Amino acid sequence: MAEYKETLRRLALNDERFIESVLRMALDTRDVSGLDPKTHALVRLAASLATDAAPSSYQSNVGFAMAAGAGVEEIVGVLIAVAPAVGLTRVVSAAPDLALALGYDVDAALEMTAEDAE
Amino acid sequence: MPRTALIATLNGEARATPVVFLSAGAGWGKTTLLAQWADESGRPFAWVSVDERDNDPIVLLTYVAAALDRVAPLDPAVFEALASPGTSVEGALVPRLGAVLATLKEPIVLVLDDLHLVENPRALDAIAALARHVAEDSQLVLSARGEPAVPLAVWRARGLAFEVGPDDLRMDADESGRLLNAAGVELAVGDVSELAERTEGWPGGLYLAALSARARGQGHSGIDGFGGSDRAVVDYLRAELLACLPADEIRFLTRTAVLERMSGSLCDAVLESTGSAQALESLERSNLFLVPLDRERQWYRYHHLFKELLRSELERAEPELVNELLCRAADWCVANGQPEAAIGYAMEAGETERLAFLVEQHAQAVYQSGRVATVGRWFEWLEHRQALERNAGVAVLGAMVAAIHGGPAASDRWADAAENGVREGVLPDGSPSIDSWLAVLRAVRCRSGAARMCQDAAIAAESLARRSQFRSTALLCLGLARWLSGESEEADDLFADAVEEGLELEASEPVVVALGERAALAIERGAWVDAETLSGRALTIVRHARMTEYPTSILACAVAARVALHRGRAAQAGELMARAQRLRPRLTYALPHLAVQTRLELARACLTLADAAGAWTMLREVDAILRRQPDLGRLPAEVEELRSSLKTMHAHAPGASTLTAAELRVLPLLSTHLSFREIGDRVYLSRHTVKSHAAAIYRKLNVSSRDGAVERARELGLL
Repeated sequence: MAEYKETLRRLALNDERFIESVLRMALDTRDVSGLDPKTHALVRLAASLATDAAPSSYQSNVGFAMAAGAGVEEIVGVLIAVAPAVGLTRVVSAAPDLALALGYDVDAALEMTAEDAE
Repeated sequence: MPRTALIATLNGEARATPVVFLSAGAGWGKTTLLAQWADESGRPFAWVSVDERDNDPIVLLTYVAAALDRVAPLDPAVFEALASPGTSVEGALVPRLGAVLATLKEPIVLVLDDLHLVENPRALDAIAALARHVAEDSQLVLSARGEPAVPLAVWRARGLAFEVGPDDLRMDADESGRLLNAAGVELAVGDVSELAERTEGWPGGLYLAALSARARGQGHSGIDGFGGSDRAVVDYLRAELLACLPADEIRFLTRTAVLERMSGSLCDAVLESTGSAQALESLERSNLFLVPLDRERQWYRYHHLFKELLRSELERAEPELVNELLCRAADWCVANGQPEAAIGYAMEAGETERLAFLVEQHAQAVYQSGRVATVGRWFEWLEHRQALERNAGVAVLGAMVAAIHGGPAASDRWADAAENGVREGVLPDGSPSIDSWLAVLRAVRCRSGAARMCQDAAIAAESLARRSQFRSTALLCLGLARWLSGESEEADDLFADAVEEGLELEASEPVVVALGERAALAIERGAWVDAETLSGRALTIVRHARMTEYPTSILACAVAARVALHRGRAAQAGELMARAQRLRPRLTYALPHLAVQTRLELARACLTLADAAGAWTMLREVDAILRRQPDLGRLPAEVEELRSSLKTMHAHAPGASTLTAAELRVLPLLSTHLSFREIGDRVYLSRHTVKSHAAAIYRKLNVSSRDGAVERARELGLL
């Protein structure tokens, strides 16, 4: 595979290990921040929601938050917490992407009948 | 009737493609062509004649393996994997058989004839996946009426498939004449070309015309009044042919046409007469009706087209008799040790109660031989006919199998049916009433909490017959219930009893779980040597009883992994953890106690490895199970204890150990040809969800492509 394709794929997947090596920039700021792992991950997720990030960024940040012990409710809680600051429009548009990062397809769920859902 | 030109094409032009695809309706001579090709090709042919029972991917792959084994002996481990209930088709069986196909020393041809009889998408996916492994100069030949759901369009586009259709199989006047001659019919040249034209070169029509001409005496073409279409030809010839045969012969032919395969004894039973063996022999001598299935000339079947003709004649002439004949066939099969064939006939006859009776008697044995999907199909068939509530014994068996093999929703439905159902009298294992079976099911499912589980298990242990396969399960549940309420010593004694009884009755599943429980208890009291012995014993039984793909074997894996870590054997621990991870998605809330406890053991192993992210993944799944069933004795407190010790740990970037159950379910399907949308159809997820899972898998495995993910997962032992 051509190198540029590999690069684009890794970037699209929000592959942090790769991005760190390409950008020569440390993305793991946890130690410097002095926050505990879960708080650190949730704050990063909140920022990505505020900046209209791509779905794969949400997914990557959700992965970090879960690896640090965050529960599904806490992750949805972040979305609610940032609502006043980022505005309702932003929250509404981020909700389905965040849900997908949790393995829940809102669009498909809306299409489903009660029987399908079983 | 040699088809020289076609065979030359197959040996020439068609040799370059890994797949050959024959598609044409009934009577186009597909099987005959393949048989002739097999004689002349110089390569050994591994031949699978597909039938409806092959709608279970395991059954179909077992026939494929057996056919390959006849031409090139296989590693017995392949058959062991096929015979183990729950072996992953995509993750384990297809790669294994694929490796066999890819590394054959001599080129072969693998034929799947009548593939249209398979509709099960997983079975067809497996065949499509095998096509990718065909070695240089070997070929996979698929023959079917119409197009089965294999990725033919892709093969076509990539030049991987050579296709043979009706236009290629059509016979010209010359070939038609030779076919009629071969059948012992001499016709004038004009009549032959007329017949060839009217049948449009359809070998089936020509063949029936030959039968008809013979029945009416030499020299009579019987072609006046032929229609053009296949159907019209068949109708016409049926009238012609059957009008000329003696009545008793027609009766024999039409009535035995309900059978898939025929032997003298089976035909006698179905017809309630004698002398069928001689009748079959004389039919075979006439050389047109029957295909022998073995060298000893004991089993036969009718030519497909002819069977269909006879069957439709039976439905027309004696419709009231069809079910009776099928039931007699079922009875004969039961008496002659062929319960699966019996169940097939009972299903065809729509004989729900008879089927339920047979399933109750035989489901456990068929399940133990590895054919989980076959057994599952029987339960579903009965469920669709609202027959489970009338047969609570069958419902209990269904609910058990579904609970153990990761079908929690089906298990819930069937457990409800069992609770609301009826079943009078003594059960097949000698237990006095359905109450004891219900009690063991309630204990296993633990739907009403730990205290109730203890009562149910006690009732079951008390009332089940001595020789019941469920006895060991009842003792295991009783031990578990005691352990949940904090009585570790009593629990250990009960686990030991469960092991002893299970070994005596050859019920390996509860034995393995009970040994795992005992090993976990040994770790709890710091007796690592005992834990090593006990978990080692459990794993030995898992290997010997071919249970490596059983979700119920994970506890033993998890505990053995903890022992290996304690002893500093990291590689062995990694292997065991990977196996546990692969099976984990199928250990669901249907067995809540075991599902939670096993994940706790896995989380503890992660802790030893300083893998906080992996441990959190386990705890999240545990939380989901506890939300459904919080009443699990000591387990919730243990979960909280583990959670608080995790909170202070540093989390690394999420790696393979953080793959969720949902992602692990998608992972094996990434190794197939299926698109994300098609994968979604198989596992009931939307395309977007599958895409999201796939991206998460790539990220966690540190790869950027689907092939990379499959390769990495293989290295890690997740596939």
